[in-house]
Amino acid sequence: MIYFDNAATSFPKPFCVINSLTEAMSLYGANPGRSGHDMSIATSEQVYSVREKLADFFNCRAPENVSFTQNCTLALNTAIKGLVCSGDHVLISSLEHNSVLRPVHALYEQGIITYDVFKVYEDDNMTISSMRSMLKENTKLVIVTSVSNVTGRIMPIKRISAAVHSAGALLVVDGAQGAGVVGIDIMNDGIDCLCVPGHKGLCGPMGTGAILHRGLTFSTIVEGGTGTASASYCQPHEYPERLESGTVNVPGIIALGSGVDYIKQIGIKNIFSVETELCRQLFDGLKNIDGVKLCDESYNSIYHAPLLSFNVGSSHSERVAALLNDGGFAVRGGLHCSPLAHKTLNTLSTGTVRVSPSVNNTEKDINNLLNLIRKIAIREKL
Amino acid sequence: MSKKGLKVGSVTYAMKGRDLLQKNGYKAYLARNPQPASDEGCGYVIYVNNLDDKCIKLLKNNGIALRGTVDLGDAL
Repeated sequence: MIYFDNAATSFPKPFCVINSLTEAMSLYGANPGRSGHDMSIATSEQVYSVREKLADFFNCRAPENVSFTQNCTLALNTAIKGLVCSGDHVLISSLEHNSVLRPVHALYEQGIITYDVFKVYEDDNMTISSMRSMLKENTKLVIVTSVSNVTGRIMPIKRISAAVHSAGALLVVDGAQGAGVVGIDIMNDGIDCLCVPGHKGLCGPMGTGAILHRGLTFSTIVEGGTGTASASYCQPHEYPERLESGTVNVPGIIALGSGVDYIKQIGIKNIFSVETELCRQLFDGLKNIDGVKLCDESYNSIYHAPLLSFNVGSSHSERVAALLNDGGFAVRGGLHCSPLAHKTLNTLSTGTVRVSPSVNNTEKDINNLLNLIRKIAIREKL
Repeated sequence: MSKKGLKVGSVTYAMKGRDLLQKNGYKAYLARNPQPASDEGCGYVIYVNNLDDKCIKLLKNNGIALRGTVDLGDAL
């Protein structure tokens, strides 16, 4: 199996991540932040060191501003539901995943907020104008993805941030596709809150994620034991524990730290360069196959992260993905949990075939994939 | 010699505070609070070799909420 589904979950994991995971199960088996014995303290030290790594990697200044979650979706729910109040307005982009759309829509259905969707264009100036025109006096949050999980489009976060802050709102960024893939700098990009998964670009295990912020105050969606202020009936106000009720995923977090080390060792720019070159090769090949329709007219690594979406004729993307699976390639068809993006692309009825290579793939892998897509394109025409 | 420590709410603040003090020349380590007040429940303590106003200011300036001191006397 040639794996091209890294936008869903990166695979294979680096050996250092696998080793960390198994080592953590053997050496750091105590509950962190709960007890005073040596193994509990040693486990806490490990967890704390990963907080520091993430705080440094995404430049959010302080390790206490990094709370671990079980995935990016929970981080986004924590951010969205924890930052809005009754009567607020929320603005989201037309490329948002269901992990943003659904919690926002649920708040709307409960009568707590109103929300609008601003359209994302190929031209960043038009995107910014479209967003500005929809900002209201009571807009509390603007939520945008760092990278579209359907088209790979890199969003102009810094420019969006300037417009959001001038309107007195907060910017929440969904880093599901961008974290570990494109550089994200909370302080320099003007991000108020960043939500990331551990298992995608950061190369960590599934079941890990984090919410990183600039010292914001959140109301909570989950309350419980934090190992702090235990005599109080109320959820503690101190971070990161306020957002970390219950025992955290220690082996996952420690392995996630190794994933970050791995990325830093190779260099995020080097990884990006290898992966976007593979995408460029794929784009150029697909462009010349009769019947293949690419979602974007061009591929430019300034604007595109390393993933591509396309369709073959009028075939449903799930059918093409199944045929590719039969030929030994792992890609993803369907709507990618992003109906808003597919509505924008006019691909709601068929979805798209998404190819997301990693640094482990080669030119030969891309050539083999192109050869099979050529055959499928001929077959689907019949 | 009497041993004094600074009470903090969480292990995260205890580690951040310890690292900060060590970087600024103090000898510091952390432990579970051995004498939590009944309204606190649980928490951690940063033990410092030279508990002075300067180190308290250093911690507070870096956002570490201190919850008082604990004096263990000669017990440990």
